[in-house]
Amino acid sequence: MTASIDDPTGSQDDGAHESGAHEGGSHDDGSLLTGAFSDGRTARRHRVRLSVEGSGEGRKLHIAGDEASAVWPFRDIVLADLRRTGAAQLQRKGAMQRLSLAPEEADALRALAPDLLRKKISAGPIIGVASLVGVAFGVVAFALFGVPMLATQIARLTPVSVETRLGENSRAMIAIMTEPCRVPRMAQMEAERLAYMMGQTASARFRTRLEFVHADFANAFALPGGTIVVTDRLLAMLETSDQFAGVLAHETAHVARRHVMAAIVRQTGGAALIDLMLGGGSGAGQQMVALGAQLQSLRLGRKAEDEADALAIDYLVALGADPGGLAEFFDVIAEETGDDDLPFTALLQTHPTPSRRAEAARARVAALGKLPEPKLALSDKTWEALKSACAPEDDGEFGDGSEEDFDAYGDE
Amino acid sequence: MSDITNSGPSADDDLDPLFRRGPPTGHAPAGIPDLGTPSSGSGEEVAFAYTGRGRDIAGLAVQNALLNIVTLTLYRFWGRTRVRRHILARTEINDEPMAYIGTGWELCKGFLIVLFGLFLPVFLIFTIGPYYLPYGLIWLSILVFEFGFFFLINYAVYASRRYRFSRSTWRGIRFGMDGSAVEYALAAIGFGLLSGATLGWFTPAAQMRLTRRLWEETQYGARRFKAGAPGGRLAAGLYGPFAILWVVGGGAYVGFAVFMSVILPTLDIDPSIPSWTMVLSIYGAALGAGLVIYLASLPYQAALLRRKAEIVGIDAARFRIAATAPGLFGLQVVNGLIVVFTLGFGQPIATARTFRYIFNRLTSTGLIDFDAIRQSASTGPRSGEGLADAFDIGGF
Repeated sequence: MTASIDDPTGSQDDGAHESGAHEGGSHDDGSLLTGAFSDGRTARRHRVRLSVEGSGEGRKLHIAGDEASAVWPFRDIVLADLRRTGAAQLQRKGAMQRLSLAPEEADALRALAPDLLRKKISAGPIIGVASLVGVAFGVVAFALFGVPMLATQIARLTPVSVETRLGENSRAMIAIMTEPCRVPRMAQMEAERLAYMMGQTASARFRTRLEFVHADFANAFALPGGTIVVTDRLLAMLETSDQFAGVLAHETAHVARRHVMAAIVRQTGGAALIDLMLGGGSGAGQQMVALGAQLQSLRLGRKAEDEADALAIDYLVALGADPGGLAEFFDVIAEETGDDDLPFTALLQTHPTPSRRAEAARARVAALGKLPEPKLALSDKTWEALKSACAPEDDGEFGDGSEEDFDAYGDE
Repeated sequence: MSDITNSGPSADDDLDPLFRRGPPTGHAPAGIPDLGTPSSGSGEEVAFAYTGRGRDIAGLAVQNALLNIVTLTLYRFWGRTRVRRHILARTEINDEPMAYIGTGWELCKGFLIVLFGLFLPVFLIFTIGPYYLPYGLIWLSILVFEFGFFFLINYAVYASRRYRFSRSTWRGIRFGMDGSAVEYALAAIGFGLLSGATLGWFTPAAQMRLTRRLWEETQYGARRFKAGAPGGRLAAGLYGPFAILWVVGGGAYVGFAVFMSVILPTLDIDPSIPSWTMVLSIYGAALGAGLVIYLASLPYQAALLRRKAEIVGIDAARFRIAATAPGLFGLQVVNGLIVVFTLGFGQPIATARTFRYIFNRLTSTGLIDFDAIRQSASTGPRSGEGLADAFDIGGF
């Protein structure tokens, strides 16, 4: 009987009856050329004699037992396991046949064919690992740099209707968490008019809208689709309508440049790519990559803030409003939060530090030279109405300068 | 190492004279596979042993850790495969090692299939969906997802076992499974609901039913395993230990809840200021309750393991495993420490220790006619375990 079931070539068929002709079995020196053979067809273990035929590349291992035999070309033989005791397992590449050798049997075969029982060092695994390193860093580099670059493009190409719908859903979510301020109709209209003109100046592709809400944090942010949300606590921090116009101009820049859309694409795309590659898991390696991705995302966020700060001043000037309002607004924040200008914390912030932003804004205004006398952004009456209609409901707790009041200052 | 082959029906005198000429004859020295007994055709008893040592695999664990770091974890598929090869090669049945024939690329393929076929679409629905979809639809999809998640986890348990078995061989014959992962997952969900409805009391029966299903669908070559309770309930012997777990563990849980809601507020600690007293008492109470629950679970864990072995058979062979609560305690505590202090990189060592625990305590009586067990035509799934990898399901 021959063992050919797993051998596509059937080449071992000739092995059964010839093996007696080869040097095999017990040698004169007492070594034992035998083994235990599994033919891959049944779970029976066959005692077999071994012999080697041929020379050089064409050598073959003849395996001969009473009921199973095989011929294995040397190039197809894989050392599946070599134990400390010296016991070895050989298998034929691509087949289920296995040859088990006790230590002394392995020694006997080694004397005849040393290369069969030596662990081969091949370049395969090294090339494999190098490719994996390449793929891994390629994916991470793409997630960190390629996706952000694409994100800006994708955001620009996203149809207005899609971003508007996205904005509707964001508004619905905001509505769950916040309570709208009851702003008098005339005040709301004048503020909306300012927002609308700001949007026109910025040539935004969306109609900018304004919403005032009660929330337990001080913030102003732009939603996808052009809605700008201002919270009561931020409003309470603002001293003049010029500062308010500065905030509005900054948010309008985010809307016009579609920064929010780009951030959504960037974060979902980049984070997803890295998360998916890492495939869950919580090892130290994963954590390092994830942290790097987060820092990169924050850095890009701060870049967008700088761009919005610069554009805001252009808009304010174009509208004839006081461009100094923006810098004043940053002064207020800097005073309330206290600047933390250490290089390390700067890496972890969503926004550049307020004092630097104030400085940059002043420098930019100064560079514009002499400007005509600015007009008020909002009438005093409207500004007062806004502030009183949208005052924080629990005044007592606000304004103690605690970190909580400002942790979300600024904008999206 | 046991010398079990010589206790079988075939003795040394059955040997072909050819094999008696050279040394060694008769019994092999300890630690060396005894090759003296050919299969006789009337069947063999089987004996198990795990011959590896913890430190054998430590080198592999370190290599895998380093390679995982430089490849940002992409090496994990190949690393896991090497660990499986190492461990199965040291798991011996009748002094002959098993072999793992899976490849890292198969695991990687499985991961990619799940990534693009399942996770990416689900990810898109859940990150972008909320912005675009109407509200009702979002809630509906969350419900579907919750159910789907539980389903997929159980599906993954089955599918990953099927893959691992199809890549495990002994004497060149593959193990395998031929049941349906979908049916298994649905059964697991049904049993889960029943267990909940009975305040946990159906759990032992559910676990045994799932075990029975798994083994009834498992094959060695073309020979099917049998699973069942000859002359008794499937979960016989489990309800005593389970009652201990239920009463003591439940008591610890209730005690913790009482501590948090009744005793803690009376301790005169200002909860708004984090203080050491506060932190220590909360964590101390949680740790204490967790420890009591864990200790109470040990007798049940051991009984479950013993019962699982008892209900499984193949041919005329039946199995037993001498698992004890103190034994499991020692195994799990040391494993836990190894994994924690190596930041997870020592997991292969823990896995090898678990194998050693199980296979050095597993015994069998009755004959298996290996000569008649043929290779199965099925080679098993072509790729492996994408879901199990994604859900971080242990297996090994």
